[in-house]
Amino acid sequence: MQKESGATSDGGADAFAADLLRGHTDTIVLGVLRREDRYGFEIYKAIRDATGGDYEIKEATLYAAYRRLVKDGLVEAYWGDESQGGRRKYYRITDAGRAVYRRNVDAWVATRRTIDSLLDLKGS
Amino acid sequence: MMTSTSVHRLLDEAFAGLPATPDVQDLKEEIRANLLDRVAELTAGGVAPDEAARRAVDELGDVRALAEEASGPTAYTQPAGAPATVPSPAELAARNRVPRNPAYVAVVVLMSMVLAAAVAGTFAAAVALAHQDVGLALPTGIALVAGAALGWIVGASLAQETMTNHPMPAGRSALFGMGWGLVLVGCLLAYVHLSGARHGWLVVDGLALVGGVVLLSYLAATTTNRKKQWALAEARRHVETGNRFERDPAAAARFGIYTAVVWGLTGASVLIVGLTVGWPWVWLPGLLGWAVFMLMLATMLFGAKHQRD
Repeated sequence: MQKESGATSDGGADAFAADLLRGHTDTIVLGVLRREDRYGFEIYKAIRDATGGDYEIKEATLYAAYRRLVKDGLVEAYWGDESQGGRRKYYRITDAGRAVYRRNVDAWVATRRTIDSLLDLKGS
Repeated sequence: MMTSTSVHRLLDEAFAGLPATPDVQDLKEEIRANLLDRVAELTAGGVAPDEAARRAVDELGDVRALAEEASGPTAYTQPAGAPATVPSPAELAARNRVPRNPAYVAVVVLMSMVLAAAVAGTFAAAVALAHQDVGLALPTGIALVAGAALGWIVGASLAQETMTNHPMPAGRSALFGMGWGLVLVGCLLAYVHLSGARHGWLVVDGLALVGGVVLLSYLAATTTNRKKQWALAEARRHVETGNRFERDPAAAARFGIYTAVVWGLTGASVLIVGLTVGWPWVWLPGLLGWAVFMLMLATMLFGAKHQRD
């Protein structure tokens, strides 16, 4: 991560955004699950589509996030009952997950304001 | 056909040499289903099956590290050698304290008084109804007030954040309140209509009761976790410590025998009291038996620490 942040100085806007996204993987996954239960590939696709396909969070990063979220009780996992093909593991957000999601979104909004004003200050 | 064989082969390679624990198998099956979806997407976009399989597996990133983490049983638990760094339950509780909302406490106290008064009032009004002193409207109105008060208490309490629980979303806690309110109203009105000999109304009471129970069952079946992270970690530590009955089967067997004796004696006392003193008094030996049983449970299950350490 350190290395990729360093790359931003020589024009790596992609690395900057990817780094920022990765730092919020758990909250992003919670956000994707807010409306309905989904399985791994759906979550991956939802994130990829939302970013316009420019940046993607590696699937391995997502699997690590699922494990963390399940362990902390923010998300519950269950196997779907697909009759053909591989069975899919679905994830469902819990009440605890919703509360943490809301808290993180509030924190992000506050941080964004701070960073915005700090950057403006430097620019002027 | 080529597609799936390559995906399965590449997946097997990624997991080669790892112990086949349930956790690892679980992860592998989850990844397999997602890989097949990704391959299907790529081939639909015109990529050759073999190339699609290779790309899908490449995109995964470092699965190996993930699988190794899944295979380690210590991944979920605290390191055993560092008990000093684990804060005590008291410290954790202090750190996670959530201040009481004074308005909530005040209104709950008020609502509890309303609830108690309304329940008592319903019974009194039912007696008056039986004597033809009042109409049906009075006990019905009071019972509805009782239901609303209980519903409010339940709903507002569930929506509160506590030390160990995140708040329940507003809509869901409102439904919980409604369920309990319906159950209470159904029971109270059934009593009113029975004592007032208005048996036709019992259908409505039954509907309210059943509606409440169905609503509560639905809510219970779809309930998700609200526990905070630190409370879950605490619970995991408790599970690791285990309870006395799991470590000491002899104690569990003794407990079983004592339980049979206590409840056998309680049943006998209930019969004796009922046949000699009178049936209205049978709750007394029942209550005593229950108290003895709970004391026994407390000393045998949770008092174990003193005896063992």
